[in-house]
Amino acid sequence: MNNGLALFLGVAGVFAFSWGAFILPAHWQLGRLGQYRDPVDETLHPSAAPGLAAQGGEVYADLGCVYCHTQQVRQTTLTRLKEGKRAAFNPDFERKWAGDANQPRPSYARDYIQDRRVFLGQVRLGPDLRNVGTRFPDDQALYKLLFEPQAVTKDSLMPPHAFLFETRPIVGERSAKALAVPAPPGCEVVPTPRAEALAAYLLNLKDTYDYPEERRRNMLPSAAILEGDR
Amino acid sequence: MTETPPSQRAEQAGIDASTKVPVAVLLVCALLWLVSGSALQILASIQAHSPAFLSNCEWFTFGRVYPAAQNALIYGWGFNAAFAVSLWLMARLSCAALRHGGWLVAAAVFWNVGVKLGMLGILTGASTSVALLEMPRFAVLLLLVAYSMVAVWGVANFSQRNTGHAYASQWYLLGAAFWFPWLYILAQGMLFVAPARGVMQAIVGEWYVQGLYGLFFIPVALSSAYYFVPKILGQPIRHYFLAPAGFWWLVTVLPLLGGSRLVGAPVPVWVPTTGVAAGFLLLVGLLAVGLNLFGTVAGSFDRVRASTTLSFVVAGVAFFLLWGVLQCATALRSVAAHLPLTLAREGQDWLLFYGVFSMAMFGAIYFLLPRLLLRAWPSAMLVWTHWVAAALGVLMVAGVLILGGWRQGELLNNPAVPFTEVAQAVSAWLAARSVGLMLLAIGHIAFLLNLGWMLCAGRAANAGGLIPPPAELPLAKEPRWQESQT
Amino acid sequence: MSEPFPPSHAPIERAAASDDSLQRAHAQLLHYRPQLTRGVLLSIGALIAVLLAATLYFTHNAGGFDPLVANEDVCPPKGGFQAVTGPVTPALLGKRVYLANCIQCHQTTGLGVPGTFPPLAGSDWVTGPEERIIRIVLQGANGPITVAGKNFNGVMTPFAPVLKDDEIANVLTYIRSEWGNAAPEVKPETVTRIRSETAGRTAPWAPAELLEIGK
Repeated sequence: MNNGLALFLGVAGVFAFSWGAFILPAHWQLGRLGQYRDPVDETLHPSAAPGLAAQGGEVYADLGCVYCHTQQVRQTTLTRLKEGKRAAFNPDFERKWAGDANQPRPSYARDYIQDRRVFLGQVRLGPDLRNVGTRFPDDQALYKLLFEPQAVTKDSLMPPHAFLFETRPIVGERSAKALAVPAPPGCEVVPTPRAEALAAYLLNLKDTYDYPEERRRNMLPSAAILEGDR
Repeated sequence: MTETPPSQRAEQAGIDASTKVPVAVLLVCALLWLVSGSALQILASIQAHSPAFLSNCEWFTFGRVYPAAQNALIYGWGFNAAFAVSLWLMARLSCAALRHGGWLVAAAVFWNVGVKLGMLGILTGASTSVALLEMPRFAVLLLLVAYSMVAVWGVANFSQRNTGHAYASQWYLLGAAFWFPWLYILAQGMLFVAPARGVMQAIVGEWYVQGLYGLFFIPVALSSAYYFVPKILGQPIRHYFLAPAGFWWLVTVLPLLGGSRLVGAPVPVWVPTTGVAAGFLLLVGLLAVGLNLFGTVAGSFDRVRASTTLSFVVAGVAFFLLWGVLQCATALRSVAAHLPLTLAREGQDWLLFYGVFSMAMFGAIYFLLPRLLLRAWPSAMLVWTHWVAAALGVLMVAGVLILGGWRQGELLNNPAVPFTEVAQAVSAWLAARSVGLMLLAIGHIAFLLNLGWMLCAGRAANAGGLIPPPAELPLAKEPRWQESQT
Repeated sequence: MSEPFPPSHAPIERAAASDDSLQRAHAQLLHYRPQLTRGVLLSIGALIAVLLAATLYFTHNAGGFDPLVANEDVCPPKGGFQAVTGPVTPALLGKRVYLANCIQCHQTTGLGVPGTFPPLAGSDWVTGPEERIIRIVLQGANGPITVAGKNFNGVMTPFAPVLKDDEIANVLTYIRSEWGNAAPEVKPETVTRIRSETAGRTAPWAPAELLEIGK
């Protein structure tokens, strides 16, 4: 350990190993993952997000939503006692966080290949958002939540994002986008373009297409129990 | 063994004097970041359980304050302190004065301007929202330039060493100097310059975070532990022949642990599995380091307690072993089905960054600053306050986050509990975290007060007498070494 | 605690060894090689056991190194995974249409939103005469309506401009056979016929008006 050159080569080798054995194979595998062509109607999945939704992804990053919200339906299968038998279940499915409540599935790597930025997230201080687009009927409901979360869920831990909205005097007719929230007389609360982009991004978050290859490869032998459990 | 020991040269004030200006500048920056970073941490932590707090101002929304606080601690306090301690330690162990140290002040300025710009970028909405890589691109270049200057100085100092041997601390320092820029450049490249496809971004992100802890902060902390334990106790490291094996083992395994942060995530399953398997292997490296450091300390705990530096450093080593065992236990999927995507991960990172790295840095700073400035710490009481606040505070923050994370996971995995109730349960734990962070802040204030006092107080009258020349480390005292000579 | 208060930490740390002697002492210690005692052999054995355990764990939980396997409990069968084939039914195609167009109101569960959007599961409107439900999808509906014993008053979007005849037939076949519904499938020809019958109409249907059809 006294030879400086040998030490340096070893140190470089350690790094090359962690890169070559861990990052490189994963990059090779995931880089080759392309869109799936449906054999029946020749459609490609997943499709790229429309322009406004892609812009909304930037707003999602800039506001740091990822520090409280994950975007992944987990693979975890737990077991619990049900009617005297051990039955498998996935808590994310039962929280209705999967895209299709009737045939729920975890998130797959392929779901993310069109995302410019991937926000898997680290902690669930708020609900998972991967399929939030299937849970909100329209952007108005989202605006209401963003404007004052505590008015939607009383004890919500989400910070209000009133700065994404603008209170302005009503000129002529009331804006169609105006929020149904208390505003000073003669004024209305309307979303800023950033709020609209964010809402478009969130409403576009839904993985409803089920990839047959992935489903097959991730079905447990105990899937029968899982089906019976629901 | 008749040659004249050049120990006088080793302890020459000249080496310390050559490092004085850059190290002092870096340390002052580090401490200012530490205090401002912990203020931001407290703000973010309060917002986490009282969402209305300062929510009207876009700059101070939780999603921006939280990453800003993390970056202030990691890049502001962590890197500045690591630079200062590494440069000083490298000069000491290489028995070579740091040449042209003035340039390092420029590096320090670049680094700190870069971090400030990055923080401003995060608060004004240019954050990338990738953990520990939030800083916008314009700050990154400055950081790289500054870093390469510091690293080049450190490595040049090593290559001009006046000793035949390279000591364990030097291996770790040399490694850290080399690994970080590669990690940083590759992560920046794969995430922002030519973004990797889909979840590969998440894999690169976790690899970077784990690499930052495992290939930069842990090595710097261990280098300081390997130096101060024998230095202050006057005993050579026990089982030193294990040290190289421990070094190579640890630095090979630590970056692979990144995979374990992706358990249950939509990535090819071999990625998290690699992380979990690396968790088992980590134990072997921990054992080697534990045998080295605790083997040396064993039986001398009174002297550890009597020494400020060692109380911090040895606590750091203990936290390292604790972290490793927790990491191994919680990596096992079957044991810890509740832990992924909860607060527990953050708790483990606190244990690593604050418990291991920051404690080691505090210990080193208490040792080196009086030698650089030729002034004594004015208050033992403040030192004691700092130690108690730091040790209790980090135990509290990490403990609250890990236990709270466990509870959170239990509730999340029970679909009968509505999500709002889970959030309510979590908010109580988050409030406890705020208290822990305040405890840490008390320690930081004590530290800063002591430093300010030290700087204001005049130089000690007989500065030379303050620091007695150290004794020679008894050679060949380890009986088994004698056996091997025969 | 034997620790005095306030503690008597030395204001300047005393070093007990010079840097140079530190280097020299450890340079010598590095060359020490332990003899193969029983303890050392045991440690080497333990090391091999740990390595073996980690390797076994890795090979058993790596999902065959398959990039598509994300669940460690899946063991790839011998000979690899078989290609996926299965019958393509109108209901399967209809499900795609449903997921793309209908779930935001009627939900993936087919239960709708209580008080706002009527359910499709267990609804007589869905399982009843196909002439009615085809008209609702084509031109939409508006006005008070009773579904599965509950009263609703909302607007259903017209889909005539959006969906093709076979898509409408497939989605209706899907909702008529899903969630416990069991009504016969809808043929694309029927949709084509009704589309031409109602060609001039743009106004949504009133439920009362529909009840007169297909009696």
